[in-house]
Amino acid sequence: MPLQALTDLQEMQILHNLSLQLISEDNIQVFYEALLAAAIALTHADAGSVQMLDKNTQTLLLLSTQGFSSRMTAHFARVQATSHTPCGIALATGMRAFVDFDDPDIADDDGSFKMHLEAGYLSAQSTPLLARSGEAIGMFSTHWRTHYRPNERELQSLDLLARQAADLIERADAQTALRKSEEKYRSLFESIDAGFCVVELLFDDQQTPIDYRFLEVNPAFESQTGLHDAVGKWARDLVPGLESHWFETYGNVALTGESARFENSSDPMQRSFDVYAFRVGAAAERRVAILFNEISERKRREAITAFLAEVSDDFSRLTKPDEIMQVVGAKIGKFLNLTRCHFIEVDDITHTAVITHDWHLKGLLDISGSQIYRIADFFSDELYRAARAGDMVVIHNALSDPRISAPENVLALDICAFILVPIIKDGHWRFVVSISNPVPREWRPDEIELMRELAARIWLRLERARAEETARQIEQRRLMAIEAAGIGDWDFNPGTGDIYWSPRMYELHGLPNGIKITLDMIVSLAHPDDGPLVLEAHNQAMTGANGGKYIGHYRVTHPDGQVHWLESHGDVVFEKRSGQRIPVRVMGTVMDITARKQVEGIELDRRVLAEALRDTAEELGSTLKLQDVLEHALRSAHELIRFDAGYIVLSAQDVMTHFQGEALISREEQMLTQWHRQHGTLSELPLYQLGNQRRKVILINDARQLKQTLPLRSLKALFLLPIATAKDIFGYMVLINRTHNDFGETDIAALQAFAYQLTTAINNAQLFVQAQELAALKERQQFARDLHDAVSQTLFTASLMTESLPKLWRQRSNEIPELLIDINRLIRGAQAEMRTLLLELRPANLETTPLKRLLEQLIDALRGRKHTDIVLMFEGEPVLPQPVHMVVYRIAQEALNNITKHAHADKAWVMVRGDKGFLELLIQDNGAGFALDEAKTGLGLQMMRERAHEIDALLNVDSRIGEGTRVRLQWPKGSQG
Amino acid sequence: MTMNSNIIRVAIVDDNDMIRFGMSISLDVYEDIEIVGEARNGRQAIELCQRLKPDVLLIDLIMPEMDGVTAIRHIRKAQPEVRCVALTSFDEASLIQSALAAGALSYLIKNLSLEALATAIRDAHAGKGTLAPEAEEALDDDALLHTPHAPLVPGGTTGVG
Repeated sequence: MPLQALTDLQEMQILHNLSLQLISEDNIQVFYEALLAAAIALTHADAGSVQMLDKNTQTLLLLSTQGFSSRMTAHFARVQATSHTPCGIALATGMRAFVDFDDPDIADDDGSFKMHLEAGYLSAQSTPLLARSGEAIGMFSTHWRTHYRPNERELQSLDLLARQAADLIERADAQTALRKSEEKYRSLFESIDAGFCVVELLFDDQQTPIDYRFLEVNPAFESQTGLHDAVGKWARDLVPGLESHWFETYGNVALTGESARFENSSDPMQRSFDVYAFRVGAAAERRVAILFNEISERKRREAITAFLAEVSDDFSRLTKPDEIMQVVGAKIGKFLNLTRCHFIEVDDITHTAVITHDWHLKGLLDISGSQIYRIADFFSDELYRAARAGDMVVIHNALSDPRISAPENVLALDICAFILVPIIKDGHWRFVVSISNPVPREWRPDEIELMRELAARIWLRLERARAEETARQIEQRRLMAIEAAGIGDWDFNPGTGDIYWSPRMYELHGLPNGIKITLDMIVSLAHPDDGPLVLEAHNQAMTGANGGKYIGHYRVTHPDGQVHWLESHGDVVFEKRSGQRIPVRVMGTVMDITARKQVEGIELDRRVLAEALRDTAEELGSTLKLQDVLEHALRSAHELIRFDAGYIVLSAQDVMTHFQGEALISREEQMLTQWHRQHGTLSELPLYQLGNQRRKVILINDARQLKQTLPLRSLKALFLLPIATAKDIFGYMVLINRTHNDFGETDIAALQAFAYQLTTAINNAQLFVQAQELAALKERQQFARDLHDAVSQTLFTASLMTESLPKLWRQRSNEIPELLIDINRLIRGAQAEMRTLLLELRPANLETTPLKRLLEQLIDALRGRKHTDIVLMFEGEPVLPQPVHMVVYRIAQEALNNITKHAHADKAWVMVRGDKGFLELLIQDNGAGFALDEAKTGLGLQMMRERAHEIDALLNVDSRIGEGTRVRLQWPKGSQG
Repeated sequence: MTMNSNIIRVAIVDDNDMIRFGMSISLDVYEDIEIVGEARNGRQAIELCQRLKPDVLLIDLIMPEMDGVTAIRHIRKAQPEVRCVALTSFDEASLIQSALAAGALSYLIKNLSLEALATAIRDAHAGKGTLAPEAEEALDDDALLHTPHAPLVPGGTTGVG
């Protein structure tokens, strides 16, 4: 650029333009060039340069030149800052330096002066660029071809320029540095696993933090918090219910600038965090940067460990099994935020389970109790097997899980999701600890793990508690029983032979208190029949048989001569020594059972008797046939008493009607039968007289009396059982014994009870016979009547008509043919009726006569009674099963009967169509008809319908008053044939 | 042949069509007997008598809707001039007694000959009751009412007269 004289205004312009340029220019290089140009213009220089200091190397870098040859540019590219060149001096002093290159007093160490001179420059100045701190950051120099010194004004301009440039450069540097650091910072936060965000706090008038907004978040933010698209959103919107401590803490950081490092959790977010929060930007910006890690998992683990420790405490504190289950159940429920926790006892032989304990939230259904559930009702086979093998069962949703056999059963217990830990002991599935939720729930791995841990511990503790409780109970009971029942207590040491007896023991054995007892003594005290047996039992138990337990019964005689029955219970205690089970102690009790023995005897008899009577009742009640009853009765009597022979005689009006013997030799039976008949009326016989008087079982075992009873020899005892009610005598049962007469009250009582049963049975049998006879009689009477009625009427009419013939022949002979036809009809009708009725008497014939024949017969009979024009149309050869054949006949019979009695029809049709396994019957008349809805009786419609139903046939009865009736039967139902 | 100058007007009541027909046809051969009407049950019988006022009513006893005995009782009150002749298959003493007590003049069993039937009708018209031998026996066994009657001539097969 050519040197020009500049006016003030121009200079100002230059400076102003430069400023503008510097401010707007991003490219620092352009700036340097503009700076240089301005400097040269302001100082009317011929050349110049701009150098910036590289702090790290303490070298000045030549960044812009004007008027330099390439050689010079290269030479001055890098200049040591400490050099004695004017630049170096300016830099070191921070003040402008002037130099004349041809000044002989200044050393030219590096030949730079010479270079300048050679380039034609005689003088130069260097103005340092100073940062606000006073530190030199660079310089610019201008060169003249003459020995030029700028005037005051030029120097002022230069200073101004230097100031501006320095500021601008500093600012540009700062900006660059800032950008660089920001890039660095950004790349860091993008890559870390920890969450990072910057938020802007919002305060109210009282400087209380209300909310904060996410300005930026790193990629890890979302996975750490679970919040999507947080940027730009307010925390309260993103996490409703966010705890106030978050706002307070961050608010504090924003206001005070004090960073905060803490751990805390958020319930709405269901997470815990490890947080470092610090203020960024200006205080007024209220921005806080938050660096955090989600530590929920860790927290949970810690919680679980703490929980397990707590449960262990409970275990050691509580002793009763119920308590343990209740308390622990509640704790588990609360800890895992469940509605229900329960314990189940399993019987894997019957595959059933009982819910023994159920902790649940208030207000829910209690599912514990004695209800026995079948496991198959809930689990599929596969699941059952898995549980049986000890695998945990984790069900998230019973409704959709195929392993549940019947989801509705599970839901009925208020359970939808559950974890079930089976406890297997000794190869059997014994127990379950289970938690459940009434709605589906995704069980977390740590929850499942917790249950596994807990279940095992609970079971162990429970077992122990139960054992302890049982042991306590046993001991208590033992003591109580001993006290209450006057039981004697004893203790035997096999090793030493020492025996301890409680005072009661001495009493029981009738011995003075306190004397030394040995095993031999006891054996010799006992009845010689009993002692050895008890000893044997004791020895057996000592070897471990029967679990080391035994019971012995023995008699002892007290000093007063009374015999007492004693019962001794022994329990051997074993210890394992060098691999063997050694009996180390035998504990036992003894009690007096004399009274019991007596009662037992009686009880036994009574029981046997009751059973015998029950059997006889069954036997007797099983038949109504008189003959069978009599036979059964005699057989049954054997169950009640031992007798050698016996008989039953039945009578009507005091005369024998039946005789049934048992174990009598034929001669005896004959004789007895005759003897009974001889006497005509039974009450004449003294034996029966006695029976009639007493009406109760009588035992005769006096020899003299016996002689007067029966004509039988060598009777030792005789039982007479009158078979009678208060009103009637049906007969007698007599049981005799020839070998002994050792009977007593019990036998009599037994037979009395039996006699009642027998009376009832015989009465029933006789009533039955009567009823049958009566029924048969009635039936025959009815037949007779029907026969008489139908046939005789018809024949009577025929005879009248026949009788009139001769007269008619004389009067109106042309009417005779028709009359004869009518007479024929009547006679044929009568014949048909006869045949029908005879068939009724012999049903077998009814079954074998073909249907067509039967229908013809019925129709003939109808024709015989009425002037109805009746036609039979029979198509096909029906082959019908027996029941169907009968039903079709009956229905046809009934329908035709109705036509005969009620229809007053002059025309009727009977149409049959049939084949193998198919039949259609249609009977129609044009008579009076009847009203279907007026359930008329006497038309046999009910019978017809029932019969049709029996063979699954379709029956239609259609009738209209004045138009006639139609009966249609179709078998089978629905067939078209 | 004994002939009455009057024609006896007879009505027949029986639930069996063929019997009515048969009797009607057969009695028709007698010139002194005219069949004026038929009925098939007691109710119809009462109506018939009201309407036609027959001389003699031949009436069956066992019929549906209303039996003969009940009908006889009614008719004896309403139309006492009508002579009721019970004509039935049954010879139970109780039935006989009921019929007679109800006002039947004669009790005939349906096995008598045409001639005997005609005679009984004529007798009844004349006011003379007839009791069939079987009925008599039955009553004898019961030993109750006796009404004077003419012993029945054992029916011949071809009564001429």
